[in-house]
Amino acid sequence: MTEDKMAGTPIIRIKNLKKDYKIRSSKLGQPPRVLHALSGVSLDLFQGETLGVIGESGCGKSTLGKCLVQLTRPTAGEILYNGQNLCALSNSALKPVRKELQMVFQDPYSSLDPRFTTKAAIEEPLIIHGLERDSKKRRETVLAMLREVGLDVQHMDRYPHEFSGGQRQRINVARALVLQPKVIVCDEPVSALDVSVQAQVLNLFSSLQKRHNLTYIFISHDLSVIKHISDRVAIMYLGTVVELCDADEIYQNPRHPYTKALLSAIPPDSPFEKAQKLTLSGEIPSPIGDLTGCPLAGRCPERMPVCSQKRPALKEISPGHRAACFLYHQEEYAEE
Amino acid sequence: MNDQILQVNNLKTYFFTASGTAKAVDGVSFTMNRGQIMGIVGESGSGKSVTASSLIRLLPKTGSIVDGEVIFDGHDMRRIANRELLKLRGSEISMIFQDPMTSLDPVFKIGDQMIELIRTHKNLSQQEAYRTAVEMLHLVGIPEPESRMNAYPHELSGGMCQRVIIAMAISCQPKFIIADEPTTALDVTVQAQILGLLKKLRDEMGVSILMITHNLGIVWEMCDTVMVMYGGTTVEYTEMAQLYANPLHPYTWGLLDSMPRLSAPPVEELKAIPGTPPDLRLTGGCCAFYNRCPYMREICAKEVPPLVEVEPGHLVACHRQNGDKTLVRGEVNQDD
Repeated sequence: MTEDKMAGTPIIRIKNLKKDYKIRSSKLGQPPRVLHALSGVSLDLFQGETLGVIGESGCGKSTLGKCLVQLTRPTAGEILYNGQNLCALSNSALKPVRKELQMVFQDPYSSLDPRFTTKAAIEEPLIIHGLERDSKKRRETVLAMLREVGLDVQHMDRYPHEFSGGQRQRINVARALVLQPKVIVCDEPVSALDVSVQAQVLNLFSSLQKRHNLTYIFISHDLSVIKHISDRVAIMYLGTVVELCDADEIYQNPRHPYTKALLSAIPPDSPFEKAQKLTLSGEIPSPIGDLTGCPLAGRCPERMPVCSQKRPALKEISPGHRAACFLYHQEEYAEE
Repeated sequence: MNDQILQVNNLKTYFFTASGTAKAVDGVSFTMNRGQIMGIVGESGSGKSVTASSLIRLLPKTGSIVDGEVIFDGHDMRRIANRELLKLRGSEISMIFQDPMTSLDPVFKIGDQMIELIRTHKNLSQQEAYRTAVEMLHLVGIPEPESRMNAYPHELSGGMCQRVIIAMAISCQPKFIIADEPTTALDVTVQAQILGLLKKLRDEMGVSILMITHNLGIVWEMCDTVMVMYGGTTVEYTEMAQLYANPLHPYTWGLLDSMPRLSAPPVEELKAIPGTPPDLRLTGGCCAFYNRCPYMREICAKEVPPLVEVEPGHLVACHRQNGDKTLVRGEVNQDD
């Protein structure tokens, strides 16, 4: 399945995307410091696939999602969609593109306006984009969308507080879907839900993808969720992608030391599974200020002298499997 | 050493609200031995946190224990005077809460908070308490404990704050620790460190730990015995290995099936439990799970299923799973 998708041209190409935030210095008169939320991310997204993005808090995965739909403007780099560089477009030129790139957010409780009924929330994008001016037809469209996500006519005129978390997330999905987007960025859409409800929403995402030929970027910190839903997985650490491979590969054949550590930190699937533990010491370094070398260098059990001097590039180490680690770029290492 | 430390019999904690009485905990019984780690698993609203809070009478004003018995180390926790209870809390029993950032007081230094706790329960001088606090911080793996004593909570990361909380929890050598989702707010690599720390405390100091979690992976890694809760009632209670090898309650099956598994081959669709968790104001008089259960029979809607010992040390509350009427997992609605 993945190979057919890979054969096509990418629907979105991200090239060397960077996002910096300026942080006011704590001392008066000092220049502001720079927080590098994304430091050079390059990814291709193929039609109809689900690209999972995983990482710990502060690794830049949500920033990547927001940059993709241009909720925040990246500092540098390109996002190519249909031959257009989204980062260079003006806000008005971006409006028709936004229709095709939608987002579902993490917290189903705060991402719906408490004073909007379900119908009002779902039809608002239609009004903004001027897609359906006839209010009767709009009502029909909204109802069709609600049925699509497993709700029905009785839910139309209710307010968000009358719904459970899972139902609210369904409304959020309907609202994103009503514009018939091509790409949906899902930013931790199931992390706030209970396991039994989480499974329902994950199934909803899968079935909608098949029916509408959607492309997902699925951001999560839960590796088992990511592995279940994704075709390919990108592992992020401190603003960079450290490994990119097929979803099955990540469990069977992780290559980057950070991926290995992440896998061994996850509680096991069974009490009898005693994998060898690879624990990282310390915590994620601060993304504030400039960093030379590999971002993992300070915590990595396999670090080499070169790691603290140069930043490894994300390179193919076997077909369809990329990693940013000097362990697998021996020739480059030898040149130095 | 293998004697009982905690005995809970038919505990009922209700919340009296304007919109009705919520039966948050409706008849829960269990026992714990010294040095044991017991897990309580359930979704939000299943009553697992209220069960834990009821043990030390840490309930909001609307809630009260209406029935049952809690015996901790010879003390009847329901009848004990408030002054006695205050002495027990923090010294004999300590509690670790979910959100480390809000469990510490933001306006006091870490060290001052620790010294206050230690001096409340132990007759120590300021210097002695300071030394104990530093020693505890060192024990939980905080680097440079002396300088951290002067830090405010906001200067520490979530993982570090949780370590401080654990250091506080063990500073008076408690016999019993209640850990209410201690790692839910943390990243997986930090979670692994904290879980390792709790396990070490059990092994080295012989503390009993009641571990509340919604993550079965944590149960497989940590616990000796497990209780699965649903809608304020115990649905299954047995040893951890037994629950994994031979779960018997339909809800436990649903919970296990709806979790995506990292080691399993890819599946198209997760087996979700249909519907949503029950409204606790409406439970009682029937099996709390009957309207979501694929094995439902008439009796399930009419009578509360008793907790029956189906096999030695394995208690299940299900009308269709007591003794000879054995259900087969996966064979839905096949008539007997």
